[in-house]
Amino acid sequence: MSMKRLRDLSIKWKMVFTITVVSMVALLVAGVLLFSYEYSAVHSMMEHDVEAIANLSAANSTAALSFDDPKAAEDTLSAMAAKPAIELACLYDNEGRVFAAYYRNGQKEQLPEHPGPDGFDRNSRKLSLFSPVKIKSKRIGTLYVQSDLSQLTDWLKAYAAVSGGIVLMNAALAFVLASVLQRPFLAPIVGLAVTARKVSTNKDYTLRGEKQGDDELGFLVDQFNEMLAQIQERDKALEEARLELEQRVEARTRDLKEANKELEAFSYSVAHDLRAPLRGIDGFSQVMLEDYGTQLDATGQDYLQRIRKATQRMAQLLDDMLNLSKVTRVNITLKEVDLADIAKSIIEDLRRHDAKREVEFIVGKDLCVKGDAGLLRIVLENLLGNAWKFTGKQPQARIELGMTQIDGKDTYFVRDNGAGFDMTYASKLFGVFHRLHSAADFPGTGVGLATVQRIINRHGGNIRAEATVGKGATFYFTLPG
Amino acid sequence: MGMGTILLVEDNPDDEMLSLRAIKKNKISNDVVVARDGREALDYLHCEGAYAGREGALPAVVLLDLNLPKIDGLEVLKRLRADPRTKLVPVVILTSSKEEQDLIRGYGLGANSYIRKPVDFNQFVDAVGQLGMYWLLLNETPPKAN
Amino acid sequence: MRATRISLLLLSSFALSFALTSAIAEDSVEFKIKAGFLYKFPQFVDWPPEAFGGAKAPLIIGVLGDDPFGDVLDKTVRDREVEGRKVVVRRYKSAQSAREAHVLYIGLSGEQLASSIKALEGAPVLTVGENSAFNKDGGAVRFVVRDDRVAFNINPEAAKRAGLKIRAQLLKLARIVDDQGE
Repeated sequence: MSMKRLRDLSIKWKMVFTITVVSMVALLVAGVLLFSYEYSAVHSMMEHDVEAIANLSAANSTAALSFDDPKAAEDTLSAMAAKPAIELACLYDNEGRVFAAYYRNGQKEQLPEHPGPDGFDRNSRKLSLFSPVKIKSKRIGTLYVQSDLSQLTDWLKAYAAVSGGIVLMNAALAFVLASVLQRPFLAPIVGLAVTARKVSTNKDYTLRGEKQGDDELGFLVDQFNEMLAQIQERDKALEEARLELEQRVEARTRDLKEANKELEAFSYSVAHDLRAPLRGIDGFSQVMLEDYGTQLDATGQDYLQRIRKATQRMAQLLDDMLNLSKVTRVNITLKEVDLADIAKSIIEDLRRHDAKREVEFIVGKDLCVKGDAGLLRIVLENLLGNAWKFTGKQPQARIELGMTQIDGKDTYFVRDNGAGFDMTYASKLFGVFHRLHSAADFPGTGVGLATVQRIINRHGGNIRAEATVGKGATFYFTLPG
Repeated sequence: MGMGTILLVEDNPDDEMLSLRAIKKNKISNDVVVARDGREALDYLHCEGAYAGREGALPAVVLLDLNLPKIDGLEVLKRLRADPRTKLVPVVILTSSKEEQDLIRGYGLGANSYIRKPVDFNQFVDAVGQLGMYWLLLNETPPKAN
Repeated sequence: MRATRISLLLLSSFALSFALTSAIAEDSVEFKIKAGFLYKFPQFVDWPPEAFGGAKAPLIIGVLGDDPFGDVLDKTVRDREVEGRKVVVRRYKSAQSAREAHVLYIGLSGEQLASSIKALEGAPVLTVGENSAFNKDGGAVRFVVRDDRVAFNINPEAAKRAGLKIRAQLLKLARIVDDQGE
């Protein structure tokens, strides 16, 4: 947690912190090194001191030793009191017996019984020196001097206190200096950060960073500005491209609209102009039958009838194709549509046209949907029309329009108990002009279901059919949204 | 049928012949005047041009095809309705198209009825019969404008 | 009667010699020390350069008058050196002849002592004696026994007159007296 906070500190504080720490560490290291050097120096000096005193005392004790005057020797030794660090000193005669001794505060026990080897006793924690007493290189005894390290420890404490003080002072100084001196170095970075924030907050890519100096920061600022310039360029290019795209889209839309218009004109033409000759063909064929029928034998009459039928069929085809193309072109206006109402009106029409037939018609509930009224009418016209048609041979025809839930979705269906169809050809059901029954059994152009599918698809739904030959068919469709 | 005249506005000779035949088949004995384009139709109705000086009532019903040369059907209708003389004359649009826009415009311009001509001649004959029944017998013709 | 006298004589001479011997025995420790001192004194005394013939000239410890040391002195100094000089022991019959000595033990007393010391005037000789009047008479060092120890009094004036310098260390060990003997 604290590591994250550390990372989030301003670079100013990071720099100040680093500099302060570095200078403290450098000073500490120097201090430590200096300390060890001086420690050994002080220690050495203390040894020299003790040695000097020992030598002096030894030299001054030669007579006392020579002339066997312990009192005089003690006298000489007692001069060591002048150096408070010296705990005790004693003279040994040439036989190693204690001749005279000096105690700082009466520590008789510590006195070595016999003199050890000449020189400092390195095993001792104190400074202990055995020094030979000589008269002109003839040894007459040994002097033992023992000094505590109080001088050293005093020095240590003083040194630590002073060093500590210096380090702290230095830290404070470094901190202050760093805080002040970081400014010219970090100002450009901070400035850049501020500019960057402004750019991103206001999305203003015209801003530029201010370059101060030709160092890496200056380079950074240059690159930053370069990037901004590129962004601006890119924005401009993007805008231009967008405009161009819009223009192209407009042009394309215009083209499409024109194409659509042409198509509409074509459809219109189909509606009118192609039908007129058909009327002629059918009409005059009929006239022929009426006026000259007697002059024709049955075959001749049959031929004329065929002509008529073919003509009517073509008219129907034209109508269907017109519908199909309209369905794709026309704008959908969505509103609340009650399928039940539409269905009832269609069934009425069907009944009117074919009053002889008795068909049971069941309309379910919840048939309000959102869609284009005109197109949905076409859907129901086709589906119900088909159901009517294919139940033609079923004496107890039943057609049902309802709604059910399939996979959690509202699914509408038109069901009949008519001829049904073979499911193996189900994939062809909605193809244009594909028919699953011969024209002899059931008339139809094969365009109806294609139209229905297109309409359903335009509403965002889908349609499928299930059927059993001889039992009937059900068409399921969905109308989302 | 009643005494009114039928004005048939139709440019296609086949359609003309078949229409006349259909009328005859329905034993409609009323006079039928055929105008072969918009101009003729207007002239007749307004007693102008070729029919200048015509005396006679307005027809009991005008069977108007939309697809006419010179002045097209809807334009004829418009002018008819614009003229106080022919403002009220019953007009039945008889045409191939059942395009929604034609319906809207037709009714919008003041057509009284709109029939789509079936290709099946027998159906056409039936339709004509119904037309005759309705417009010549049942319907009250508007009074002559003063 | 003669036998008793003889045995008495014998007895007393035994006793005497016994006493003498023990005295001598005691004396010999004391004199051994004193002999050592005689040899050690030079280490703390500076003679003027003309006192020695050369760097290799021997240090002469002389005895004038009664010689209480016997061969102890000789034994003590045998094969010893002081500052690279051999130490020799000479016995003198007259003070005059003893002027060559560096340390001279004078076993004389009374008038003989005084005149001997006088005869040595000017010579760089460290005069050492034991007589109670030794220092008064102008002798430099007088052996005394103090607290069961062999100590000595030193008359620095006397030494100075003889042209000798006695080191402070030695002086510290001694009891300083002046010409008055105090």
